[in-house]
Parts: sequence; C-alpha cells; structure tokens
Amino acid sequence: MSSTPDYPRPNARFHLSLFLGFGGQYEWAKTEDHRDYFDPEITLKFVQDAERGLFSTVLFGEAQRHFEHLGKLNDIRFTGRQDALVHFAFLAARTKNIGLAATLNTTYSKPVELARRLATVDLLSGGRGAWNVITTENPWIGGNFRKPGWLPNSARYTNAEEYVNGVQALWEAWPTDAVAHSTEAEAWSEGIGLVESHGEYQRFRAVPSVPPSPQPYPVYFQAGNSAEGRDFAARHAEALYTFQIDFDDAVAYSADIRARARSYGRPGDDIKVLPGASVILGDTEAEAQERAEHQQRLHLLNDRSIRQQVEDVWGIELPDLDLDGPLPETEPVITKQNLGHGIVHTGNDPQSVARGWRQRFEERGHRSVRELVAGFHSPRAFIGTPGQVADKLVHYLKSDALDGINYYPSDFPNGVAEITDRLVPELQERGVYPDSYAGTTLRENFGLPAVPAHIRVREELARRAGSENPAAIDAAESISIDDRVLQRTE
Amino acid sequence: MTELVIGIELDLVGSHRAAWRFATHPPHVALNPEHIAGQARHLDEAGYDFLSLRTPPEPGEFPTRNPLIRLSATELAGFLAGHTHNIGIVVDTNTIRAEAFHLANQLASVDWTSGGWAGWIPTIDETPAIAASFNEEEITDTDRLHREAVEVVTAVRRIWDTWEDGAILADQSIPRFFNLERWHNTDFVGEFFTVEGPSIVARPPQGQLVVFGYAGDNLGEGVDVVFLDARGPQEVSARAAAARAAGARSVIQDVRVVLAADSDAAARRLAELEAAGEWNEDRPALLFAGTPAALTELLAGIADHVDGVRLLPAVNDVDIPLLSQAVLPALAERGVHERATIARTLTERLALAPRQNVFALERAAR
Repeated sequence: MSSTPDYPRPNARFHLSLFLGFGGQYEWAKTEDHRDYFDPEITLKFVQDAERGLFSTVLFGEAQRHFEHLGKLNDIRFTGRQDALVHFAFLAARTKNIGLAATLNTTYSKPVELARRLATVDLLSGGRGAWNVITTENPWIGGNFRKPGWLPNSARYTNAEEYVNGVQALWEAWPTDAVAHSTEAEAWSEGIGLVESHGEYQRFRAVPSVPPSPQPYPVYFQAGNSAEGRDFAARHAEALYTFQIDFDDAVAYSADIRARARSYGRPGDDIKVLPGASVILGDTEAEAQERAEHQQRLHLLNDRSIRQQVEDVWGIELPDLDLDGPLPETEPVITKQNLGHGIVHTGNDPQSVARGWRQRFEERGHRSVRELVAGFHSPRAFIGTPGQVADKLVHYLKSDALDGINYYPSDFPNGVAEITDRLVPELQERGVYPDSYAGTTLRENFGLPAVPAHIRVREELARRAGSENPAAIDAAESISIDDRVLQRTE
Repeated sequence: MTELVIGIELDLVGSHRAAWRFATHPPHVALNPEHIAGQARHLDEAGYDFLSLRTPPEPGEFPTRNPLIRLSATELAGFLAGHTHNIGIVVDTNTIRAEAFHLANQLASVDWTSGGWAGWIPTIDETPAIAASFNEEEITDTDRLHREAVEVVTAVRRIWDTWEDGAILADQSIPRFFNLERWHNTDFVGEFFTVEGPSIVARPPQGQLVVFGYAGDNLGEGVDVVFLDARGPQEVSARAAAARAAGARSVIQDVRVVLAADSDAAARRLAELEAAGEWNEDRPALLFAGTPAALTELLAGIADHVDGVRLLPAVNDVDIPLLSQAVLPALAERGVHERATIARTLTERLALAPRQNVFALERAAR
C-alpha cells in the first residue's frame, strides 16, 4: 500500500497529538483511585508516555461549565479537569520536548490577561506553547461569568478576530531582543510597545509585561468547522483540530483548508490537520473490534446514557420508555434547547430533531431506540492490529487526508503507553515517523516556518493592497502598537 | 517564644526596581526557565515556609522602557510547583473586575500541582491604567472596591467547596460518576455577579487554599492570614494585636531586606539602591539594612508578636544567599524557626484549622 507511486505526498511526516481528557471519558474500572483523574502527578506519567513516543503535542480541551440533564447536573456526562495553563506550566517543569496546546475561548476572558498567561507558559516551557482558539458563545456557559450572553452569536467571529489580533499585537509588542545582556546597559529592557485596540467588541490600551519565548509566540490551533471558521483558520491557524476521519471527507477537508490558506499566500502545508480519533489496538483484528464495542457500551451506549439522550430531546423524564422498543409517541415538550445542556444538541429545535430521528428509525429499519442511538455513535477510531492501523494511517497521510491525529485514549493512566510501545514503532518502520524530536520548540517539532502564519498573511495582504490603501486590510486595521501599525510592509 | 513562619517574596530579580543593576547575572538570564526554577528549588531546600509571587498589575501606563517584567503568577506558580516539594506557593491576584470562576479554578489547580501548598492573596488594585486595559473608567469609590473584593473572595471560596468529599463514585456498574448529594451548583448571587455551576477543577487538596490579605484592605472573615501594615519595629506589637482583635487567625509582617557583612556596607547598598529607583511595591513594610546577625535579632524580637514574617530581598542574587546561609541557620539555632518537615500542606505549616465545607454546613442546618 505504502509503495503506491501516485500519492500526492509520498514524503509526508506523521504527527501524534495526545488529547488530554478527563475522568468521564475513560474506562473508570481501570483507574484505581478516583483522585488520580485530577492528580497532576498521575497525568504527568500519561504525558511522559506520550513524550517517550515523540508526540508533537498534548491538547487540552476547555470546559467552562458542567453538562446538565433536564436542568440538573449530569452525573455521568461531565467535564472536570485542571485549569489548562496552570497545569501546562507544571508539565513544562517536568517534560522537555512535547508541545502544550491549550483550548481557550475568546468570549469570557480578556485578551490582555490571556496574552499574559499564554506567553508565560510559552516562555517557561522554552517555546512549546500553543493556543487552540475556540469562539463558542453560549449564555448558559455565561452563567458562570459576569456578563452572560453579552456577545451576539452572529458576532462571535468578529469578536474572535479582534480578540486574536489583540493577543497577537500584545505578543509582538515585545521585540525579541528587548532585554539587555549586561547589568551595565542603559536600560534593562526597552522598545516595548503600547498596544491599542479599537475594535467593536475588544477595546483596550495596554503595555504587555511578558517577553517572547524562543519560538517566539505560541503556535495557533483552531477547531472551527464552518466556512467562516475555515477562512479564519486560513488567516491564522498553524494546526487544526478537526473531526473528519472518514477518508473522503478528510481528503476534501484537507484540500479545502489548504486552498484557503494558499489564497492568503501561504504554502498550504504550513497548516497541520489533526483529526480527533481514538486508536483501538488488538493482537488480531477481531480482538480490536471487540475492545471497540466494549468501550462504546461503557459510555454512550449504556442504558442510562441512551435514555438520557432521548430525554434530552423530548425535554422530560421518560422512565417507562422501553429501550428495546420504538421512540416515544408523544412530541417533545420543549420548543427550545440551550446549547450545552445535555448530550444531544438539538440546535434549539427539538421538534425537528425528533422528526429526524423518527424518519431515520423508519428508513433504517431499526427495531429499537437502542439501535437508533447506537447508530449515532459509530466510533471515531482506527481499529485493528498495530500493523493494520499503521498502514491505514500512512495511506491517509500520503493521500493528504491528514497530517496526524489527536489521539483520544480510552483508559487512564495507561492508555498512551500502548500507542508509544506498539503503534509508534510500526509508523517508524514505515518511514513516516521520526526517531527523535527535531528541536526544542513546538514550531520546530511541527516543521512550521520560523515566521508565524498570521505575520506572513498580514505581510502578504499588505503587499497586495500596496502602500496607497493599507486600511483595506480589515484583519488588522483596528490594532496598533504605538505608531507601528501592524499592516506595515517593511 | 513562638515559632516563626518565614516567607519570602520571589520577584524576578529582586523586590527593588534597581535589582537588575546589582544582580550577578545579566538581565536576559533572569528570563531563563532554568534560572527561575533554580531560585525556587533553592528556597525549598533552604527551608523557607512559603514563597510569594506577584501578578503584574494589568498593563497600562507602564513605561515602554524598563517595565517591571512579571510573568503571570498563577502559571509561574504551576511551574514552580513542578520544581519544589515542601514550600508554600502564594500568588496574588487583583479582585477588581476578576471572574471569580476563572480565579477559583486557576487557584485550585495551583493547589493540585503543588500537592496542597498553595495560598492566595486577593488584592484591591485600581488605577486609570488598569481600568483602561478593560476599556472602563477608573472606579474611585473605595467602599465599592472593598465590597467587590469581599464578594470575589466569598464566591471563590464557595466554588472551591462545590465538590464535597465523596463527590466521585466512578462506578461503571450503576453507572454514575458523581454522587449528586455531594456535588453542587455554586448558586452564588452577589451584588456584582452570579456564579451558577460547580467548579471545573476538583476540590483542592487543602479543601480551601490559605487566603492572605493586607491589613489595610480589611477583607474580613474570608481571610486566614493578615499581612500587618507596621512601618517600624515598635509598631508591630500594636498592629498585630489590632489585627487579631479584628479576627485575623494568623499575622505576618513584611520586612524589606538589604544585607551585607557589616552595617556600613549595608547602608551603602541601601543608598545605592535608593538612588537608582524605588521598591517594586509601595505597601507598608519594615525596612532593614544591616548584617545577618542584626536581622536575626530583629526577627527573634518580633517573633513574640507575630506568627511569621515575609522577607522582601532587595536583590535576589545578593540577599537570598545571605538569608539562607546566615539568617535561617541562626534562627534555627535559637529555636525561632525550624525546617518544615512535618507539615504536609501550607494550612498545616501555618497551623491553621481546616475550614468546613459550606455545603456540608448548609446540609447540616437543614
């Protein structure tokens, strides 16, 4: 398979990223002490296994509110975890090479503070920081913060763009050589810029207090999937956390994102596409399949979870619903469901979701609710023997369907060692995986250009606009560092 | 004579703005992670009871030349937690406009990463520049600022309690991860904000972090340990008594330190520093310039009135070695300070009684 001559990317290199989850997603019986899920020393072992396997990054998801079910806290579906940046600073002290990518929202925090926190982790890790930008706006999450629902959902990308530009400007306001090399110098540091943001949603005036790292700014991840999100990614992102692992979808997604990046003057391959997926290994294919089914049953397909998923849509408790029978005959009692409530997101329209479910039940000839719900959760996983999985991943990689995966482990704290010990050697044998880290910064280990993407895009847009009309660059026009306006071309 | 807790402020190069001039390393080295970690490892090994870190004020009208370089304190704390074992790590954060939910989670993670050695100093910082970094007008009503600070402390403490002991079942056979009798929404409603859901981070190992406050801020019941505002040794006793009368469970005096082998040299150092700039912070503190032996005398003297001191070394490279090699051993010899080998948490080290979980108390009252 790997010798097929007409692969578009015969020499591509595979990246592994560890999706650092939380207790609820693992097989609970395999973790002896429940406190282990939250103990940074235990997570450290997990991350060290990944570093031993030369993973490029660990990616930490963000939670700002726990899930609910029918308006009450949900006791099986939850998102408890450590604060990403404090935890990453700790991991920075105890690891050497692995990148540290934190998912951080642009709605319930301020650019000045987030810029300082991220820059601190980047500096203390010697240039291994990354920011996975998400733009979720959701008044229910806002219930934990001072101004719930302050941002109209339609404006979330405008806000995100202003926010990201603000953070970038705060980072760039520190020249890389600002700190003196002698105690006899005239000043201990100089040339730091005053940043002013005059956006519609993000306005501030600040001088940053944290110098740049060796990379020199955190790498940008993004997880957006809409057309607007993809275009935003093409201007900023250097790595993408995606959801497409069906081969044709993945190839199409990758082609689309690279074309968009090229439209901004980028080479296209300077954006690493990393779909989230689990890898379920077995000594035989049958054994791997059996493990995969076992894991499905444990979480989304146990009786309580199946019942919850139906109740989420119908909006009431359905204690008498026979999971081995049809869907409820009644209509959902709610007309609106808030995003973030429950497992099933109805997009605020439970009635049409229920109609869709009935139709699907009918069309697919399901005999039970159980079968219907199982169909929603076909595992997003690469399943097989280590050799089979490696062959498949190599095929995806060389076909430009992805640059690697964000690996979702299923048990804790042993779910990474298996990949490092069994899958990594197979990838190395196939010539797509390195034998050592390429460098000390994440930018180096991802094989990214030395100049961050957003700076290259800004310069390209300024070059196109010419000197007569620099204000045409809407991406940066509302941000300035002193008189150094960011869209300058020199 | 009671035993004295010894804390130390760890600012990047020192607690004085001109510290970089008198450092034994060039300025850029101060930003090397290994250099930063080495300082904390030294403090841990030398037997200090806690180190404290300061958050930069929200950047605003900083000079663009020689700004006070400060990393984000909560992240720096997580990093230092990865390099230390038995030393408290205390961070200060501004409460004005702060999101209590973010603060509670970040601070809880400092406690987890340090294995139960975290402390928090909520502060009231407000200037036109801080307000500008939020695109807001300066708040000048001091009573309002005080109410907001108290509210943030109350909310943060309540968020820490939302995961009671026994909150996690993780029983796949039921299947339930949480015990809903022991896991709670915060349901905090205040004058300035509300917080609805439970903490994202599990309850900190200490249950509640040790909360420090400045005497002048008068933050009340939510504070465990009060930094006194005496400016001279003769004021310490009265200030300590006043703070205890106001409810402080423990009191600590700040002491700025400029050391040298003889008192003339120390006086010269102080004069040089003062000619070159100011101290990083202008809060009330004792100022000591002299020999290690004289500092030992001073500390042994105030040990009768206070539970501890926080030392603010003018220049880390110069003052910390003298403190570690001459002052701490001398205090140990006199029985004033002992290495904290028995304590497992900062709460224990400061001999504070653990606070009860508010949700457990509310249940008991029902």
